[in-house]
Amino acid sequence: MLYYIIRRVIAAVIMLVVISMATFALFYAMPSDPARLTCGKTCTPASIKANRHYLGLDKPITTQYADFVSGLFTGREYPDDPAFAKANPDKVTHCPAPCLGYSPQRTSLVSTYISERWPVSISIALGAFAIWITFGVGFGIIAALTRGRWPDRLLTSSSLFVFSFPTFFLGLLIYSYLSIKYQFFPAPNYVSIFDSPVGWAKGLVMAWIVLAAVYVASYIRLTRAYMLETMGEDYLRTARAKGATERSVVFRHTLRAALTPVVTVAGLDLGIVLAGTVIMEQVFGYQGLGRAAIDAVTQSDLPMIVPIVLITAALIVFANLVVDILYGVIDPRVRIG
Amino acid sequence: MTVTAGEFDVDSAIGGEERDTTIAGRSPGQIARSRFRRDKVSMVCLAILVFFILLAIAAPILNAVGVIDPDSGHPDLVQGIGSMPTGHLGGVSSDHWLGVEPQTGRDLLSRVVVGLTSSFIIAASATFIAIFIGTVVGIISGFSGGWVDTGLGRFMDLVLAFPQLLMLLALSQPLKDRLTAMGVPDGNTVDFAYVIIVLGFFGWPYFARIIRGQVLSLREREFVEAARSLGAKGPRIWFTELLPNIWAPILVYMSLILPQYIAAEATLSFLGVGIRPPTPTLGSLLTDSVNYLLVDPMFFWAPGGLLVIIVLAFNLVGDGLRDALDPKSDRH
Repeated sequence: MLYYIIRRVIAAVIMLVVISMATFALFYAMPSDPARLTCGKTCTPASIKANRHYLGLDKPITTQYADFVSGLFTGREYPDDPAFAKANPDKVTHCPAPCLGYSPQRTSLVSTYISERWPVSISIALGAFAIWITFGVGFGIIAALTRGRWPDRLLTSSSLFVFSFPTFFLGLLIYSYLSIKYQFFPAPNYVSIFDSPVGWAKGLVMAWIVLAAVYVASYIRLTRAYMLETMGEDYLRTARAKGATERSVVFRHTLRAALTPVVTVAGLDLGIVLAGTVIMEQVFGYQGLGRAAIDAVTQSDLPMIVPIVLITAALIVFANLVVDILYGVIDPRVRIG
Repeated sequence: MTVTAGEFDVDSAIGGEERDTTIAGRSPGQIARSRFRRDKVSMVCLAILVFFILLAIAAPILNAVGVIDPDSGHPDLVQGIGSMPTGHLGGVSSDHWLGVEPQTGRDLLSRVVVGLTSSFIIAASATFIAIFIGTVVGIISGFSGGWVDTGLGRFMDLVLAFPQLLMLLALSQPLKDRLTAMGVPDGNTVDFAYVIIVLGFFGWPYFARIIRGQVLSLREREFVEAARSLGAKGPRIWFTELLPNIWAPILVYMSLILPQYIAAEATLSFLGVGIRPPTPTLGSLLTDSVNYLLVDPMFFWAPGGLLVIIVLAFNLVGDGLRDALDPKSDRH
């Protein structure tokens, strides 16, 4: 088991390195000059040159990548130029480890900016996750157990219906009708959970429900399908034949086997959702990581975009790793493979 | 054990003269078709889709001959407070069946119809790219095995590990710049090309995995063995022997990702990196109308309702197809 975990961790680390390289290549090897983008319309050739030097963009891309990675572990200086630092010590920005970079447009360190934003995104993602697991799996089990009768038909058809609404569209509808017009939901806003747990939940509940809705729909179908597949297995007939109660057949024999693949999918989806609250943030106006990404994109703030992409990719890789390890715990067969 | 009548018609062909008419051997394709035809919901949805697809194809022609007119404004029809359409339901009249847009007074029905065409073009092209790459990579990966399979598998993992939505956002500027540098005309063409490329590129790995799984189970079958012993080489086996045997998952997957891409185009426009107004697509129309949702619901619901109807119809058809094509399915 330990060997299995070590192997998965090494694979994940390699994946992270490759992703970061690919991201760097994608964004910094493009014809658009990142330094020109830092000042937009106010650019002069001199200011572009200064920014390029300031951010270290005048170095070869491999050196830039090395600087970024070493900055993660040891921190770095902007600009990284001892002669300049000696002449103007007050104009040097120190970026302590783990340094993600510096955004000249925001005149702030990327890590400072992001650390204000990520609790919002995490709150949205985790709340939605709790809702969709509870209802998606719960309803899925009910649908499978009442196969072909009205609860099953109602659940499967309504889930397909909900599934057909794009998330942003559903969000806009609920926001406009149920919050602005009929004030059924409190207006969305973000309060830290440490300041006021109730205010936190109240301000986020609409985003949770909307984000969870689409996932609930697909988890009902997923859980139902795996349940039905398991329910056709011979060992359940054996269990019934030996006189096990229906309760024990459902909960002990069926659920455990049927939910294993659901756990996998849930882990992967959590990783994706942690990276993907951007639509909720745009619809409801939360100032989270996704919104930061949109702002960075519209302002062509490349030094901000790259770290955000990397952080979210790291979250996904991490979620994959956790799923892999969990899977090894649940299903001993995969450890050998 | 009870066996439902009809399920084993072919096996019981020897007995009973009067059954002969129903016993004619049917190919899997025929069975699937007849199953699908009996599925009323799917048939209705298919009819709806055919109607909208024909409408989308006809839209440029209708626009050229002047039946619909998405571009000219009617300032006289938007005299309400804040230049809102005059009249009920966003200015519905015999000339403008769905009313007109606020501010400009352009005919809403015309814009939705033209928008439908652009949305279909984007979704269909992206689907084609995803399916094409996915099929080729899936077949090669599944059939070759060994280091080719491992390498392609790792590459798929890599593509899937990127946060898709964020990449779609983040890549918009650099990729559009690159496309422009490569000679793609700026403006609409670049926007269209960008949306199609990113959707298609991030869409294929899932599908490649499905195809790979199918090919793995097919490659040891006798007909492949036979082809190989007759001297058939890689590409011939891939595309003339294997491909015809995996059309079922291709068809099902196609019907399931096409609506996703229609929705994705709308989402990208909403996030500000898709097709920009005033070019109508379902997404850009929705984005335009977001601020009018409560004051002029028709403006929002015309593109929004159409979007939901089309996505829902596609999902139901996809579901029906899957049931019809699955030999194990117990729905007839």
